[in-house]
Amino acid sequence: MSNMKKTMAACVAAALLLTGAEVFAAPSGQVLVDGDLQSTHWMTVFTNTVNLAWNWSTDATKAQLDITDISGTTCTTNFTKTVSNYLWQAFASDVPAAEDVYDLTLTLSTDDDEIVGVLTSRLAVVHGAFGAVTIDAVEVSREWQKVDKNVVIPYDASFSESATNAASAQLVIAKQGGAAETNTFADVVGYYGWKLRNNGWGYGTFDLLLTFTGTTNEWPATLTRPLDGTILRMQ
Amino acid sequence: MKTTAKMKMAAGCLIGLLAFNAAADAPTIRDVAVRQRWPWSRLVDIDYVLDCDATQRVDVTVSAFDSAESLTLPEDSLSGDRYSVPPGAGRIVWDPSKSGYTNEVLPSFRVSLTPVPAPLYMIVDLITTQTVYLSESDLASGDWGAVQTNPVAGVESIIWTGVTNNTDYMTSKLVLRRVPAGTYLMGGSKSVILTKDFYAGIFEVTEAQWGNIMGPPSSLVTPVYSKSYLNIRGSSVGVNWPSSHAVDDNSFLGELRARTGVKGFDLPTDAQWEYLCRAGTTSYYYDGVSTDSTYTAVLSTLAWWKDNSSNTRHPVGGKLPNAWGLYDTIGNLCEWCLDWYDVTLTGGTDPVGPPPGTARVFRGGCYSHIASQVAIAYRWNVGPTSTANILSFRVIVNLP
Repeated sequence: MSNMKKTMAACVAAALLLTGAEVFAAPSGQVLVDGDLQSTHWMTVFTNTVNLAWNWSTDATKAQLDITDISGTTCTTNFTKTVSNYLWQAFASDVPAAEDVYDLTLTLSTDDDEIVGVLTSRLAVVHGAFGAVTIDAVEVSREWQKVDKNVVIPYDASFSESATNAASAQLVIAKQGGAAETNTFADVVGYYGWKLRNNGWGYGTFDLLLTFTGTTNEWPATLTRPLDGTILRMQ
Repeated sequence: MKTTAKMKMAAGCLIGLLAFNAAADAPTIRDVAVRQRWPWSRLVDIDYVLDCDATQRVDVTVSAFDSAESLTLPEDSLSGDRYSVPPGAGRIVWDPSKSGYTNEVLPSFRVSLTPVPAPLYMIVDLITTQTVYLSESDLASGDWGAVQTNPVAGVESIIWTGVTNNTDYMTSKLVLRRVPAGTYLMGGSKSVILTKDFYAGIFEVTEAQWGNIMGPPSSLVTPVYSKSYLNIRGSSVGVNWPSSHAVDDNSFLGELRARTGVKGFDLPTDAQWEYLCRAGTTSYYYDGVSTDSTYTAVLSTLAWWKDNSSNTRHPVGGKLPNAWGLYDTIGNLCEWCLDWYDVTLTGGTDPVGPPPGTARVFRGGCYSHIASQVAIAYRWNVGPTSTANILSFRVIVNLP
């Protein structure tokens, strides 16, 4: 089954949990869709079913929730004002097959389709929240620089103490001799899902540069996507 | 969706709610996520959420595994939210380069985090090198001898007074008391914020304890004296404070760190010293009441000073301790501090003293000093090579 099909299957399987119009005290794991990502730590998913919650604006009567994954597949669900919680099944199995990043957008509107609010959140699925992970402590490691599929890249101002007062972050990905992409984040803590496959990047060496606005700190990295999985450029 | 699936999810929510409510009683840790900072760094972030009462503070112990194999993570390879952690999101950072796994790939790394009450006391055996921690409940069991509650008016505390009845704690073992992070007015005027808990030796280092580390053997439980700053920290890298906590391997602290494996041993900074001596009080001495040097009767219950010492040092632990159970912080012998001396107090957050100068701070006064010279706020200074016979020291353990 393709990733897209899997995601769509998850959408279909998702459950609605009807509650009142107000958000109640959250049990463990509830995620408030509110766009406030200035948290100390990353917004991470810890179960395959995520309890999403939100607050309705006064004049909104309906809402549309769009959840877009790393590959660009969007799952859309519509709600009326009687609903303020949604149990979203992020992936079908208990443990995710791959890491992923989801952008959540909740569009609030009136009966006349006038948009009266847009709430966003970003959630990451990382292996380390579900069990053992691989830790590469080898200083000069071939595997460290190798990429061959879509990857999740963390950005976090607390990586560097001097960046803790930063207001936003920027990640530049530049293929040597090829295309470049600049990603500006309104927050300073999170994950970026780099869609490497089927997105025109091709093979080669990529220079990454992570910066935080208002600071001089730069976090460079060089990654290589080898054509046959064996050619590596070592720095 | 099938009804059974809905019921399972509803049950899951209910269990989640019950678990959340139960956390009000016992601290619990949930939502643990481990991730290496690929591609930026080899540091490993261990994120978690601690559920406990709002006023509660706990330590977090880390057990690590690669598949079923238990891993040894050195104390100094872990940093972040490990000690006196409040409820909410926390992060521990593991630095593999400071462990024995520098050149390895761990294919199935996982951790187990356990919240534990912050211990009150730390006992380091200088012979076996074992370290034991005592919690409030350990002391309440009665197995460790007498304890006293709120010994100083205005400060809530529990202290272990039975420690003075066993000379092992003055000879072959070092006993240290957990000192909570906090804020106070240094010298009564400069606001100081100490952001991290640390452990403070409850006694000045004795002749016997020095002998156990540096030789020759001694059985004396009087404070060691005539040891220079350089003897304690070393004359090479040991002189570099405040740029570094490093000490020479052949210094007292170097030998102590190596023998016990506790890397945080050091002298207290000037600010740490006054904070540990005040122990939550703002009084002239640490009794909570005195306002000037006329409180000589009170002083004589707390310290060996000019009027009661017969002009000589005395065994440690012979006078009343402060609210955190620390003895002889004033009187008996003076105590080296880590910082360079400047007449002006710097204050601020975790102050490290002035830039390099010519003299180091020492504090607390001694058996030959008058009442005003053993005041908590009284500061002295002398060159780091001095081996004056009124100079001793007390060790602390800084937590990472």
